[in-house]
Amino acid sequence: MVGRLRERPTASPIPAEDVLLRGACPVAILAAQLAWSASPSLPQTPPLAAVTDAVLSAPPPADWLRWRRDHGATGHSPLDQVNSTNVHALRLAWAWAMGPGVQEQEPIVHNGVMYLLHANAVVQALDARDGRLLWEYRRELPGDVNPADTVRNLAIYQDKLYVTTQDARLLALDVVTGRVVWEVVTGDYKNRVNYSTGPIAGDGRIFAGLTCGGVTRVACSVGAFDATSGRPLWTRESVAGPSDPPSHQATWRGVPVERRTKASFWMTGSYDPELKLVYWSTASTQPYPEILRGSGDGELLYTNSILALEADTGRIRWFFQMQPRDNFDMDHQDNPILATVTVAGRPRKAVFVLGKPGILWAFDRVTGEHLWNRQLVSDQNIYESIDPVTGAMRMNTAIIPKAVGVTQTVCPGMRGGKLFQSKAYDPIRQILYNPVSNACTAFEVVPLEVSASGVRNDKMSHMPGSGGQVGRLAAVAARTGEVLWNYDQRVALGSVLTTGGGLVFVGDLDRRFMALDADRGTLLWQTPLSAPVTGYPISYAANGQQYIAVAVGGGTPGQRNLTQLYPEVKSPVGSNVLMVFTLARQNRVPEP
Amino acid sequence: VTHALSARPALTALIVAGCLSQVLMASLGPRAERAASRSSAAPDNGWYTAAQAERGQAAYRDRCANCHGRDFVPDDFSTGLKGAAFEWRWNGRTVADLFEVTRRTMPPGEAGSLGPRATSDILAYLLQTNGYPEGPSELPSDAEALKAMKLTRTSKR
Repeated sequence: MVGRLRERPTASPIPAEDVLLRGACPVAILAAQLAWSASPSLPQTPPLAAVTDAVLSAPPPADWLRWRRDHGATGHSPLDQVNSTNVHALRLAWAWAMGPGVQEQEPIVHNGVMYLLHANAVVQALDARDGRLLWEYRRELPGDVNPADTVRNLAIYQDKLYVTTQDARLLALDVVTGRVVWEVVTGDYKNRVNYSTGPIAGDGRIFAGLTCGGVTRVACSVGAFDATSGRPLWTRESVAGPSDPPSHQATWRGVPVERRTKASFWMTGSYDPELKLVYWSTASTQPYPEILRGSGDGELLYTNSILALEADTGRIRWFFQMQPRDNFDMDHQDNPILATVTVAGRPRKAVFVLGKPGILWAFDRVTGEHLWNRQLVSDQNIYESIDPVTGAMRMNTAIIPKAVGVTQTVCPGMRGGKLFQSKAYDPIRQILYNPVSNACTAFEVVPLEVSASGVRNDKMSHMPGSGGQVGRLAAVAARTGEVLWNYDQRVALGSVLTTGGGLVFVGDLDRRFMALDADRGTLLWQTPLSAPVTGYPISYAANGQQYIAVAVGGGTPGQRNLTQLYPEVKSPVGSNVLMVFTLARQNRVPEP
Repeated sequence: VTHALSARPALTALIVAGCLSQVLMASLGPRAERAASRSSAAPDNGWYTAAQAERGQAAYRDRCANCHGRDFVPDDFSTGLKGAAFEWRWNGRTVADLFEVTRRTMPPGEAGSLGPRATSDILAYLLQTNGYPEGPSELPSDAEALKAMKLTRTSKR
């Protein structure tokens, strides 16, 4: 279902008294500054250049300024020093041990300094040439944060770094010293409202989406904060509530507002500074089976949707629900890629989004109009059809569970399709490179006292038509949705980086990191690393030298679940390391 | 010297006998242990020791808690191991089944990396968590010996 301006759902502005109350926080902030003051800082070699809105809108080629690099979350670096003719000469330039925890991190690089987030709220500024430590910030997390969670990325804006934490804090750090400038509490982590993904910045605001547990009795939300002070500006819930149109609320049938929960924002959105719209996709609600939720055949707005939110108010400008009436935890969590392409002879400002069902969607990001969609996995049994014009999905009602105790195979399963892995977009070729998994899950419906989710879903199986090849990188033409090629392999894939050198970098969940030819999908280079490649690869330059960086170590439980599909593959897990590669000449020993 | 020389064969015999008895004991040992654990397998006598469950808790926190929850509130992708969730999956089966599945499939991605002792320690902690009584003998790390231990306990809801 697509919604438009006419029926404009509202966001919740932060009441003035709330702001005042939070405004009374300077004492707490000061205390926090004292408590969490960073280690003695070393002089920073490169001069600081503020990351202004102009810089964020047109990042210098050498920089990687946010999750997936730019406002459009393309995962593309224009650097071309490393290309198909010399990629074979890539060698390890430096490596850096990272703290323990779930490893799905992506660094930021600005002006020769890498800002590296570790699991469990450690942030370090490193010399991007060799990893020399410039400063670090270590937060002492409470012992009862959810250990399955991690935070994936940081934001940089003006003279600050922005950090979200597993105990539901948004922090601003001084980019030169790592000292805490301010800190706001945005949720109750004890009630499983916290962050598992990082913020983005633009036009004086920081945007951050919360992750919420299934038994939490508050709606999950994405919020905006004043970048200078941390003052909360607005929040927007992922589900239709009292301030939304009655027709949207009705999609929950009899489910009361306090049970329209979970539907997390567990990945980060993108931003269009011209349209002043923030794009963020949503996840599913719990319990998963509708018979246990009491939502009948309701579509459950705005779960499994993409939201276009007005940056200044949080109001929904438009939304599109990719998958209505979800019974199988089909989160649509992804980097919504923004690009301008010509579709059917007409230039379109488009947004591209992928979810667990393994379907890539293209929308006009001004209006929300459906442009095209393409199933990328080898099979599915979730839906019957998708209207080629409107994009409306007709669900396969035969597979919707009718009773507790029933077990059935659902394709793709709850690990996707696509899970934490993120796609990338080459703007020269206008090709989207999508990592998906050909995997199904056995869903057993269980009483709610057995599992709050209403399902047991720990058994997976290979997807029909996959030939046991779980990992697939699908190259799709952004203009038409045509699949240009698939690169298939046994082990599931991680996230993707594209470069101006015509290369596509992707790691796998064994421990192989590789470069493919962006046109043909042929393997040009590969190297085994120390652990599953679960971090998001980036590319940057320092001192005129191009680097490719990726963190390894092993990811969230969802990622680890996939390993049961290839038990013959034994990968070491748990030792997190950042690996940085460059062309071989860097490693030469200087002449005496 | 002569004395020492003549003593050597006797010493050798002694050593051989000692080794033999060790081998003999080793070959008999598990069976004897098994018998002992069978008799202690009755819930009344307890299935594991408190010290073992404590070791198991440490191992659980290190190897299992990331997915199954430090306090048994599982991650969305994982299975609950306490109360109704445990009973749904395991009641009617034996500790041997639980042992085998744990050894064969856990932790995901590192299946087989838990040693038999760590596995039985973790199971001791799970049994304790689910209200099975502790006793004087450790839960053995031998699937054969665990076959007699049937999981039946139902928590009060």
